[in-house]
Amino acid sequence: MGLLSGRIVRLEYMVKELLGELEGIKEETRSLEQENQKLRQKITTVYVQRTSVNTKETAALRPDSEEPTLMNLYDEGFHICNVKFAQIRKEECLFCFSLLRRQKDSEK
Amino acid sequence: MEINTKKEDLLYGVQMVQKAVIAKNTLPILAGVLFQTKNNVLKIMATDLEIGIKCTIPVTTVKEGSAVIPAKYLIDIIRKLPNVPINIKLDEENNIITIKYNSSEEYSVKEFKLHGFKKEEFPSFPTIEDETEIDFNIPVLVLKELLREILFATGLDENKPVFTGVLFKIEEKNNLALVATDTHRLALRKTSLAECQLQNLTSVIIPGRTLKELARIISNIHSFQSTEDLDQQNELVKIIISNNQALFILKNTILISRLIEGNFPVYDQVIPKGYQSRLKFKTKELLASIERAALLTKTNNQIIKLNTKLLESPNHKQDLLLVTANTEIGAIYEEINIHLEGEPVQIAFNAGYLTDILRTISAEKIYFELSGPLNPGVIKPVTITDGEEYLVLILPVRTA
Repeated sequence: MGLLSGRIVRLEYMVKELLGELEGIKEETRSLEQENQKLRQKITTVYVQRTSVNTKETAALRPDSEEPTLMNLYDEGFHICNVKFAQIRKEECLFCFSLLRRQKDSEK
Repeated sequence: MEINTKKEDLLYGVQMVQKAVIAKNTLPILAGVLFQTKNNVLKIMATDLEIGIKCTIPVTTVKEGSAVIPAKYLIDIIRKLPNVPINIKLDEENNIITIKYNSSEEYSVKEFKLHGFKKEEFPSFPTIEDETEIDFNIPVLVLKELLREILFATGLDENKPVFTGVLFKIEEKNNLALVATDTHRLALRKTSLAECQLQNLTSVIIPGRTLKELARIISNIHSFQSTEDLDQQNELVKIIISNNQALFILKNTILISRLIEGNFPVYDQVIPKGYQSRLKFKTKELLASIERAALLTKTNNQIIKLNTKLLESPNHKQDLLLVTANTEIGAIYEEINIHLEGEPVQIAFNAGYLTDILRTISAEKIYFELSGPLNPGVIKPVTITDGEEYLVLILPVRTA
């Protein structure tokens, strides 16, 4: 009897834990949806900006064109590093800066 | 189960394991500590299913057996007991634990009665079996210092568990590297385990909480040790790492913990390879100055500015660092003598992060290597033993 009640208690604990996890996933999904929405808007804006300038100008801008976009995303409060990509950024991030620095170095 | 024991030993044992007990755990049995006695030894165990702690204390075993006692009440009760012999007895039939605390001169009865948990519900203490990947010994004092130097940089965001842990990496030539980062700061500490002859190279992420607990256990052991058996220099911690668990074996305490799954970010790409400016400081002088400046920055964005200045007179040249903060509360301006190599500096940092770092550095003097106002600054001790390495990265705050 003791063993059975022990198993029931454990099962109850697992169910509660699963429900807690489900709530967390729901919350995360909501925040990801919001972030996705913002990112889509951002990408659309960048796309429109790029297609509106003529090809000669675009070619001249190309070497630096990627960095400002990433930098802008970073400045707008998003992570651009692979460890937290597109998540909301509250403070400066070492990994985002490392990415920007590597990109800049490769362009030199 | 029945034992005779002393307040001091009992309190020591229960305090050792108490942090593995979570009061608000949804599994009630985990609010208890398991007492198990045999051959004049009492094993006290607690687990929250993430970490488990087992502590062994000497007792007189009157009757072998085990009991699970509510941890919260037990600790409070033991603290309030007088320094007299203590008898703890389990009434098996009713699952009631009686704690008697009468001195031999007294005839009056003094006892507590506590309702125990069902011992068969207590989870078995995790063990590491065949899948051991690596084991090694490290002096207690060395480990304590390593943990102090690294743990402040662990993150608190449970959504990204790898940042809440510390990377333990066994590298070639028996080197142990510890790395922690919360993405704003990064601490890297390398030490040599020259005497260990490690067979495998491995890297695992150990939860920061486990290591903070380990540091607490080490401090507890030392604070309870009498001066006669205080042989801290030679004391060792045995560390066993398996596929998914880490085990730390100390003098009379064992800590076992789950590992954090996932890949630790590629940290070496983040560490700058050179610098534009290198400032040399007295650690305590800079810390004191930053701490004073931080008094004004508590309520807002915690920004303090660091600028270098050359003081020139016909006979003398001196580099100075100006530490300034200007908030709605007031302003601070301090000049510190430094040695500057390279370009002048104009940079801003989060005062809280900077004080966290400077407090962990025991070296008398430090280098602060900077590569412009945007790139991470590197703080490292000026002198360090051969084969050792310690550095901390901190990102400047971008100011308009």
